[in-house]
Amino acid sequence: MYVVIIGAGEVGFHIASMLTQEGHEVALIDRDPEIIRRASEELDVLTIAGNGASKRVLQQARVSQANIVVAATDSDEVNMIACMAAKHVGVPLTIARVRNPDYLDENASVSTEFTGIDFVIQPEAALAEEIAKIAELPGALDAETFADGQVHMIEVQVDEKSKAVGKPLLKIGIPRNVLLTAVLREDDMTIPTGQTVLRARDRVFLTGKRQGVLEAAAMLSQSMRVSKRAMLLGCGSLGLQIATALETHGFRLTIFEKDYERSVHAAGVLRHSLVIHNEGLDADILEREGVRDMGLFIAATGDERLNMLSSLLAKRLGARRTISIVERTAFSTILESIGVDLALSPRRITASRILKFMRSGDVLSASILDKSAGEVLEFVVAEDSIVAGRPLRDTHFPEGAIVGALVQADGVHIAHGTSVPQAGDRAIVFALPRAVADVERVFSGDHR
Amino acid sequence: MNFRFVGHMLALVILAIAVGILASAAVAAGYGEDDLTALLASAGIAVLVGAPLYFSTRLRSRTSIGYREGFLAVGGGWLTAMVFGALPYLFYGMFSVVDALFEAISGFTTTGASVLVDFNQPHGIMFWRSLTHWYGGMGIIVLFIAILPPLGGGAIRLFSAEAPGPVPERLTPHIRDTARGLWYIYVGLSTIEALALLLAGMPLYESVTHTFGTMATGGFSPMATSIAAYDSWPIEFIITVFMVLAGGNFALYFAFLQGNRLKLYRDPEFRLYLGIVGVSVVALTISLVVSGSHFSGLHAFRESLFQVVSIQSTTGYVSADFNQWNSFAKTTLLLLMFIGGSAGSTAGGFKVVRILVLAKNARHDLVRQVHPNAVLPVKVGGRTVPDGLRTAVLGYFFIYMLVFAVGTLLVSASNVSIITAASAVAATLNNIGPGLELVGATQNYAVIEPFAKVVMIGLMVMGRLELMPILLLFTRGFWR
Repeated sequence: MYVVIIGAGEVGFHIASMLTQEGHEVALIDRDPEIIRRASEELDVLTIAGNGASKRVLQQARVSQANIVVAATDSDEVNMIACMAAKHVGVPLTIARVRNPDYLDENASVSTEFTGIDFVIQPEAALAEEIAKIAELPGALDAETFADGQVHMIEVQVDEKSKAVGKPLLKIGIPRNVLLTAVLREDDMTIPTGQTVLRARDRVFLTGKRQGVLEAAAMLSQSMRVSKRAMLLGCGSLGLQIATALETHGFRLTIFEKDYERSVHAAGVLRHSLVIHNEGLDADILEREGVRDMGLFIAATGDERLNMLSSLLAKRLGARRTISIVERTAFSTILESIGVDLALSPRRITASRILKFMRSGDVLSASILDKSAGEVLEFVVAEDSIVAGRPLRDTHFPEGAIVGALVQADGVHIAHGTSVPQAGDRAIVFALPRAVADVERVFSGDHR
Repeated sequence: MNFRFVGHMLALVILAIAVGILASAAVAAGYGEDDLTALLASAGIAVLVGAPLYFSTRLRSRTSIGYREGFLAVGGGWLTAMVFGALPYLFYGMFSVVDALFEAISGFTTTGASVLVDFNQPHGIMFWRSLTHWYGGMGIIVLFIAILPPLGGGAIRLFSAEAPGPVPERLTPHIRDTARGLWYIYVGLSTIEALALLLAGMPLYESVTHTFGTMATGGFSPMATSIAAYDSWPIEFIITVFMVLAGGNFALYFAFLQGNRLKLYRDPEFRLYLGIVGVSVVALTISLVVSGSHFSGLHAFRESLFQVVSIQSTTGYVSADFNQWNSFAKTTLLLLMFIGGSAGSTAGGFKVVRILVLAKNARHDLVRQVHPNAVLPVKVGGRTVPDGLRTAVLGYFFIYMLVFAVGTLLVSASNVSIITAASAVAATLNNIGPGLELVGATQNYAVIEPFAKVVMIGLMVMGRLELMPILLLFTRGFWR
């Protein structure tokens, strides 16, 4: 597959790096020669310095031969024009990042008929959606659904008090219909076996039906009790989208906003939230507004340093879970190690959404897991796939990947070695990045 | 000040009244009664004054209407209407000058407070009496905006000075089309009600006059005992339905007819309006049954429903002598007088939407005790009420109460009981009609002293025009 990526910022760079790891051809365009120089050193891609909306530059990247064009520069207009130009020369799939809500219609998407862009991602809306999804599952760090909501996967952190700590997986009695798909320890993602021993602060990925997954999660983490109260710091355009998304999920928010005009606007738009005109940075006011009763604390101001520090403060004051919005993903690892539960970056979400969308064809959906250490893919088992019609343990399944669940004619099943996938079944597969390409080949039945 | 424009509007008002009196004269001619000459004479005088004024103030192509012209045209227009509307009563010799003015303004302001004792009057003059309601209900000036050539950008100022409610809703790009839409609905609902009453067995003449009284939320009835004269379930029910409709926001009906069905259902003011009616009916029914008088449950419900709707929609029709009811029931009705109907209706009173804003504002003041830095915009129907409008409602409440207090003080100077004075002021300021005790359901305003009547004339106009257009005429700054 040949992919042209316009904009080598964090999003473009990340996507390029994921794609090259999977063995695809990538051309990366950016107007900043310095960034381009660094990208060419670090990534195995074709790099071009220039304006991605320019016809000349696009021709130089042989855009007419591209399967996919991704436009993720800082400029909405450049992204849209580049995609429209790419569409014009017959690129089958175009993806643009568009931030400004003025360009979006009421469904938060750009009209496809008008622009010809196949997929528009609005980072703030995507992030807000993500937070709402996580908030719905208290204690969960991430949550995804597959097969039209029949299969759930959530990420939880094992806490010290859990009985599962220090025992091999076989002995902790996870419900039979739930699969412990992967374990993330520090930055290292592994696929566990029955002998794997969990430690406190490990992050585990559970796959199965909603109820079973929640039960299993409760065994590993204490913080699964539902609280519909949340506190939000910062109500600019991102904060407002988060608040709106949470409100639609039945949350009641207490919101701090230091800018008066913005707080008035937010208070006008939101229905069940209390907007406080204050920076929300000192312990006194946070306590007075009840931070210790909050199930969730989200810091979403425009200043990522402020977000990190205030999340730490809120955590210390007793907020059960804290989420920090950061721009640079580099910080998220340290943050999470010093007590902030989750550091989310709009860019990371954007990259993950774009990758998810790019996996068209046999892949129905895909999700990038924590720190991009793994992916979850959803396939339809092809007629001539090597896994079709025989037990999984007899197939030569790629190392570094595991089938999590099968959606068969008679319902959802957790996959075991004895499970027999049939053509037409849907399979939810977890894969480490290096195994993604192999897995795709296995399911598509393409044995080149 | 553009006096030419104001004069032109006044001329139009006078001519419109001439048309109405002529229509009444036609009724008089039809019945062949002796009020024909009085009516024709009144119409003649109106034409003699109105026509020269009209032609001498013909508008030049572009006129500019400011806020002051708007207020003066509307305030002056209503006072002019009162004078010319009183002519038939004077010429027929049934009232003194003050009484004639009182009856005329009570009609135009859709109050329905009457000084008429002897209901054995000819049909033409009684028709005129009910027609004044119908004129005043949707507003004469709004009618002009609807039927006259476009007045330009200033028309909205006229419209907002006359239409009830804090902010008139603009339903269409042209204010003229909005005014037309409202009048279409008004005429349409009136036609339906008159037909329904006919079907329920009411004679044509009475159906029409009662319709005028209902749709305008007026309350004049050609019958001495008002709706109680029929003692008929179906008639009371039909009138109740149309009183409820007349007290609701016509803009919502407009939206409803244009296909926006949910707007009516979701409107917070309309919901609260119906909610207040519902709760009051239940409370009143229980109180009437419990108080041990001869009410059966069903009977109590029937009387409560009619009376609550009649008072809250500020109509003032009477189906029972509620003056005989227990204290709780009477107090409930007295309080309902102050709430009144919805903004954008033909009803008077403080208006439900203002109550809504006041209540939310008060609740926010409580929340602010606990969260001193909270930003709490007052929202109605999901939309933020602008700060200026919010404080305007607070200010309006103060002036309203001040006018009520001063009015009660002045009326009580004529040596009536406190209840009579307060309820009479409430009933006139809120454009209802019947009050309690001396001015109660089966009583009438004839016994009130002339000075108090003059006070009430002022109250009725202020109530109908929502204070400002009249109060402004008495401020020095207005005339500069």
